[in-house]
Amino acid sequence: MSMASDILDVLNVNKETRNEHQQKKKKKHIIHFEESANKRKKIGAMNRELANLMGPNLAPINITHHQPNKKFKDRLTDLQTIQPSWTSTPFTNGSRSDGLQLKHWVKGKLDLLESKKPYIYEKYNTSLDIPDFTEDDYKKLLKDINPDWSYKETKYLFDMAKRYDLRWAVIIDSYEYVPDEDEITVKKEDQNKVDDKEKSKDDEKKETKTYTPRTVEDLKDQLYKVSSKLLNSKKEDGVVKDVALIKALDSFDKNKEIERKKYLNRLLHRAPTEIAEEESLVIEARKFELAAKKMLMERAQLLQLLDSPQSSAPILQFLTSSGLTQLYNTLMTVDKSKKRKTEAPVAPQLGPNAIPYTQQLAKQQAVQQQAQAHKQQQQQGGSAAAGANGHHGDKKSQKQQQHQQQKPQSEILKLLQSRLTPEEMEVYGIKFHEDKVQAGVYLRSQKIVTFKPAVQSKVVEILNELGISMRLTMPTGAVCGKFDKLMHRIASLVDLKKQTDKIEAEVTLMKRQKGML
Amino acid sequence: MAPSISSKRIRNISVSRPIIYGNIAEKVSEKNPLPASSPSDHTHTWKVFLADPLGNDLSQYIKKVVFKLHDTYVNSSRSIESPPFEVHETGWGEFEIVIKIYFQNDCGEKNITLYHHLKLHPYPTHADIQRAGGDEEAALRIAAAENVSGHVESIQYDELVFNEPTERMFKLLTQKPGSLLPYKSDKTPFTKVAEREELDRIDKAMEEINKLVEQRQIEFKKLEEERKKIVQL
Repeated sequence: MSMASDILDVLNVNKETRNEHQQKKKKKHIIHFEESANKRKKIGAMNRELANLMGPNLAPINITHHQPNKKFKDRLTDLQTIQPSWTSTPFTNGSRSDGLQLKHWVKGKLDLLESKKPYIYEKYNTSLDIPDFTEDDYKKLLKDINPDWSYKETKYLFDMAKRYDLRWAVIIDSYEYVPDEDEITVKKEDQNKVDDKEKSKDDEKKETKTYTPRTVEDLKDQLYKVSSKLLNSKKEDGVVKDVALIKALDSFDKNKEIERKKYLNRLLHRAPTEIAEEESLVIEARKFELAAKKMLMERAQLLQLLDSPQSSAPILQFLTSSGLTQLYNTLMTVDKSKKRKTEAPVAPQLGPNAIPYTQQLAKQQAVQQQAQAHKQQQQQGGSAAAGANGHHGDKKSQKQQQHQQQKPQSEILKLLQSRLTPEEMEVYGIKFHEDKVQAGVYLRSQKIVTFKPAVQSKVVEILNELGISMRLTMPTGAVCGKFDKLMHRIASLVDLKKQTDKIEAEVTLMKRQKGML
Repeated sequence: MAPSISSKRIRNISVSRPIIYGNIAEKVSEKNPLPASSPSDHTHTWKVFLADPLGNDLSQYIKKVVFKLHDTYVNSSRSIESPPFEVHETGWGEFEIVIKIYFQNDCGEKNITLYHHLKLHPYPTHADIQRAGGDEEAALRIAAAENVSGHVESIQYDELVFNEPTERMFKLLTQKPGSLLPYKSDKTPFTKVAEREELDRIDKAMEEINKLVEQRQIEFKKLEEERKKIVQL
């Protein structure tokens, strides 16, 4: 431990940075540290000193098989026996042309090594299959492709292509063709015709001037065209596989290639403003497209609308005025037969007794229905002689009505009301409700009003004080009604008591406060 | 064929019919021996019933009545489909009987459930307690002594209310006037007089409550004013 810190001091490593560094890798080292802490007891004296010397960050050392019982000496000898020996053997590289013999280490003992395998890196020595041609070939076929190119230059080009594996970037970089004098003289003659004055200048300069330096496109062009022709000429053997290749070679267009590169260059060097402009233009174009589409749709819809609807039945009969009225009548009857309430306009009743419109309508309807009921009474005639026949008579007439026609419910109601005296109603146990009641059967005692449990208990208490029990002895209609009212009254009493208590408390509180003041 | 009577409901109308239900129990004695089939530890014979206070025929509108007795009885669910709607039984203990009333099919009404506590032993009445000077046990003894006959009754008056009955139901219910209660009668305690008494009692109570409410209201107002005064201070 002390040794490590000494070393670090010598090296002038700051404690803080060390800690930082340690903290960054804390996770890994915590585990490591804990493990080492656990194993510390097992480490011998010498090893401990060694560990101290090396410091807390142990470098990963030898990967040995853990043999705790064996001594170090024995483990050393084991190393030699376990691992194989290496031999330095000579070899030749088949890719080389000079037959150079070098030596390299091979695993295993000399005796076992007799197999002569080819050098493993020979397989990477590949080259492209670029066609070859002779001067004769050139003069016969290839001269006419491009008069600007000589046999020598073409040969040079092909040689470069082969050497550099058709990597155009490299080829154009190291393309240093020096044209011969013969070629230049031809060009020189041409020049004579053009300009005499330039003769006085340096011949060499002229020569260099006439020979235009080749561009990548030129080279490509020449190579592809020549190869294409050569491959075509070798057709005699039945060239199936190369047809695709020939096609591909022929598809090269020099001018197009130049244009393409120009465009690409321009694209890559657009200014940001230009990019933004382009994007906005694209968006606008899309908007226009959508708008155009929409307009087309709307137009189609309009056309559909404007087209008069096709009638299924012949309409000739309705074209005359009489036919028109007939049509109108049929429609009206159909409308009427659908049994809709005739919405006759009702004059609003203004003034001191003004009532809302809907109520007025309801009233009108009621009046109308009563009028209808009276009409029917008159229709019934003799048998409906009011009251003369007593109960059964009433019943009969009622039954008759029920059997004869299906009257709206209110009719029966109105009839009953007008027929039965209040006593009779009581006898029959019939009761009218103004408001809507829920349909169903129930027991009167079961529908006694109840409140929330807290209130209920107080109410019951008060009831008991008054001498009335919750269970009524005679829960008839009248009794129940009165009882209901009583319950509500008691409930309101209880509520009132609560409120008074509240206010009383408030008042005393405030009094105390103010009193103190 | 006559046009069928619609099963439409008559709106804004309700018909009520009175019924009484309950039980009568008698102690087993020489006069009232136990029937052969019942076990010997039964001490009372009783009958639970549902009837009309005037004795009218309920089967007009009631199809059947189901009395559900205690589970210890054989066939604890007794269905009575014709009048008189009652069950005769013997027993020794009191329990709650569930009475379900089913109405005629074409009436379109659901069944109704009533609960009745079978009473076999006499309870001391209010009057008895007063006589005993507030002592309930003594009152019980008095009641028992008085009830020498061993006859105990527990009958309840109630009314079935049919809201918005169907036309058919309406017909059935109104074939005969059924709501007529006797003005005064020795046979039943449920008379018009009793009703009147109840109404009077309620009226009295109402008056008292009203008085109290007025008092409280005055108090409330006073307190309100006080509070306002204090707040303004």
